[in-house]
Amino acid sequence: MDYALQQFLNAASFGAEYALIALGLAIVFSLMGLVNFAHGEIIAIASYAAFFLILVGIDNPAVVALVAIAASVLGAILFERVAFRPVRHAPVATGLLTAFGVSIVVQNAFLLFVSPRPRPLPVFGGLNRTVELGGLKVQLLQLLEIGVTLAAISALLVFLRRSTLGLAMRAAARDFNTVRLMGLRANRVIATAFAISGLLAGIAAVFIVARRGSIEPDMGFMPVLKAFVACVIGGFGSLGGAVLGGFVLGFVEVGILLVLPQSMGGLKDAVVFSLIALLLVARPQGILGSRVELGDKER
Amino acid sequence: MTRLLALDGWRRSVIGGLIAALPVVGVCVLVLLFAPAYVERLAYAGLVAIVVVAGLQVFTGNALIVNFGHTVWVALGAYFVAILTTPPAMKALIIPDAPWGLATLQLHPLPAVVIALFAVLALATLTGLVISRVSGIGADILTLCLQIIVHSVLIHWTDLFKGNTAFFGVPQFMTLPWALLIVTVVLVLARLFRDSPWGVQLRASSENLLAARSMGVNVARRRLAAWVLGALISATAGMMYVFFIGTISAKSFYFSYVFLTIAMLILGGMRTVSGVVVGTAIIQIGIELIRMLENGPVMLGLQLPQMFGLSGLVLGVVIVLCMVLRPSGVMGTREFDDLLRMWLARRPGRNGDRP
Amino acid sequence: MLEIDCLTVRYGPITAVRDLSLGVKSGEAVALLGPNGAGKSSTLLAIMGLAAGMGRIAFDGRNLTGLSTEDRVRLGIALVPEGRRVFANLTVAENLTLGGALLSGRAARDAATDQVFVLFPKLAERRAQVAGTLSGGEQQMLAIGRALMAGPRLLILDEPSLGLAPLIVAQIFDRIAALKASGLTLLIVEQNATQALRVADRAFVLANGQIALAGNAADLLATGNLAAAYLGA
Ligand SMILES: Nc1ncnc2c1ncn2[C@@H]1O[C@H](COP(=O)(O)OP(=O)(O)OP(=O)(O)O)[C@@H](O)[C@H]1O
Ligand SMILES: [Mg+2]
Repeated sequence: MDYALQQFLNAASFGAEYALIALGLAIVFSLMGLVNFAHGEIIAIASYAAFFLILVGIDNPAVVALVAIAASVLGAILFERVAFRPVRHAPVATGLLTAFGVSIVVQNAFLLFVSPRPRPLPVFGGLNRTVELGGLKVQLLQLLEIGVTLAAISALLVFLRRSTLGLAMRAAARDFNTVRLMGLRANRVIATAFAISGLLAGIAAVFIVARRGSIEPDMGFMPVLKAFVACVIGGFGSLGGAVLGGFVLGFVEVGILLVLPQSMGGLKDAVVFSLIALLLVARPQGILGSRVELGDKER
Repeated sequence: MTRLLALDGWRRSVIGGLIAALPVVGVCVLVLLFAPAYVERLAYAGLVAIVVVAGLQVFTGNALIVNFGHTVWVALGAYFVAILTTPPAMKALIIPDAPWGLATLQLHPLPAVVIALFAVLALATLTGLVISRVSGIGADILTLCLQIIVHSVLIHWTDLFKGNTAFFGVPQFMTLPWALLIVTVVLVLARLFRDSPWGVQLRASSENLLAARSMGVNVARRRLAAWVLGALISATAGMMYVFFIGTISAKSFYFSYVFLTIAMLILGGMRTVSGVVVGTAIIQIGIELIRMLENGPVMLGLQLPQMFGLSGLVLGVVIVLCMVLRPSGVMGTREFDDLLRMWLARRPGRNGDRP
Repeated sequence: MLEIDCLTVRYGPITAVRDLSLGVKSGEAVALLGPNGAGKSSTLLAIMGLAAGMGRIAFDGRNLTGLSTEDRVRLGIALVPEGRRVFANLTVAENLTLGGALLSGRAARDAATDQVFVLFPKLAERRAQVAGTLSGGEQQMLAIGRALMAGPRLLILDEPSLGLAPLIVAQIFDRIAALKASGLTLLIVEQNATQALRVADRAFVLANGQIALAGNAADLLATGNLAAAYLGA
């Protein structure tokens, strides 16, 4: 029983991490059709901000986490302002490649100015302890990850349903020009979307750093790759799909680790990605996606 | 010259491909005649890159689907011929437990290349059937999936691929002139495909999928064709590489190589075959120069610090600037021969010179 | 109130509108008529800054060149776009909220919403319904209501009768007439010339991007000139 619960929490906490990152990707994509390959670098920016804070002697975990999240929000807004605004109306491939260029720039900047090697960053290590919950031993980090993710998703839902800017984001996902006809500034709506995606990535970054205890320039790459897969599973651009896809991926990964013999553990990614490919063949639009084709979406 | 340029149909494509190869041939002849051996090695690396990027162009350039998986074929092409041609004595050291009696097998390179190409053909068709069915962003992500799947198989199937460490002892017989011949053939092939009815339909569908479909173009079929041809060309590059260097390791074909070659394609302009040559040349030479800086050279009597990451930084900046300022790359939609034709037509007194 | 001078709109090689000049005075209703592809919507998009146009467009004497769409809306121009373009995934109430996004404060928004509900009681019944599931007529009402939320001084309507049954068209135009009676300035693009001319004071007929005919609405309605202009004579 304990074992089953442990595996469930494992899967749910991985799923929560993917969901957080995937949600940020989906928000930006739904609004402007941008496949933000540089999202992983937002995670890296948050982590390196934490690293610098420690360097200057600030080591209160709560402060460090807040500053890291703030840094990722600023980073996301900056990316939009500098790199993505000029290609806003360009075809999807142009946006994707721009993002991918931004990603290379940021990764190599960390490589050049900090170090190509991983650097230890144990500031959030305290989260890795076990706590007793109703007689069961569970990891604090996993509980926090699941709890904070659910809270963030709920907050986002309220924002999207209640605030004018949230409504505008939902509307703009379908028809940006008509939102502009309401007098709402496109730049502001898009900057908000990036800020939210940065916020979610920043939260995820805190958990990622807590788990691995170190940072390196390309640390965001793999998580974001997984998040992309989560988005595709759920249906690209659908926010619900991103969350669902994140959790599905978490459970599939943990399930496969349980099923695969120890000696083949290294093939986990190969198996996971093959399953995803099969899913896409059966349902090219993802689980929640509706069948859309080029030309379906308004400008 | 004018007469050659005025040719029509497939002949025009062949001439166009040859014209794209011409500067490459020129540079290599100069290198062969005058340059030291290490420059010759760099030139060879450049030729391999041209073939890789040409393979990428055939799919991405025509279908406008970003392909993060093309280096998979480079790796597989290299590994397949390596496994088939390495002497058994060597294999006893590297992959003694290879399945299907491969540990004791040694083939002449020619049949090995043919078998390897067929293996790639089969795998590319299989994966292509999956990828060509999916539109838009899903297809991009699938190519990513492919890269990760194949890479982790290469790394973890140590009995066959030697895993994380380098596979060595492959016969080294390739030379610059032979590579030059391959480059020329590949550029002509890529150009033939681009101008063929299938290539034209594919490019049209990449601009307006619905319109192409409603005109009865089977987009999935065209994508599949481009995918398979691109894979075969990329695999050829892998073979060129391994038969020259003699060793391979899976890491060198992973994402950093993917990014490098994509950057070459973007910079040159993915819609044209000439762009392949331009983009590869600029980036290959540029990176080589920056690498010298990276290693902390002594300049004007100053010892500069090591600057790892500088080449990557520059690469990224080039991609972003290119996308923002000139998303269609240096060449845009024009091939070298198109430019020549325009130039000839514009020269005073030469108007009506056509036969 | 609105003056257009020598407006030209091009999409690449296609010239949709050529050297068009027209004016709308305060409190007036002007109809812009013409066959498919005449360039009516392009004119409106240029007014809103959603299509790039050459020439001068001024609102209240202020040159709009260089202003973003958002800023033009803030000056008091509202467009009900062709094909309604309601936010299909939002409810009626949410659509109206977005329409009043520029209003400050909940009270102002509620007041504006109530006014829209007075004009279109049907919308009040449907306030919690998702807009995508409304009928065509209801969607048109919503699109007009949404545009009115911001309290515009010039309301521009692009083919409010598009795809609607005659009875519904009559209802919609009845409401438009009510708006005009309340003193709102209107620019109405229509194919349904008769309906539009009944509300309008003046009318312009557009053909191939140019003005083919202009005059008093009542005169145009009376004479048969209209048909000739439509047929491209
Ligand atoms: N985005 C665009 N790109 C290219 N051409 C366009 C575009 N929008 C409109 N056009 C062309 O401009 C011309 C005028 O179009 P417009 O939509 O202004 O006509 P309209 O008078 O509103 O017609 P309708 O009554 O059918 O709505 C048409 O020939 C159309 O094909
Ligand atoms: Mg129109």
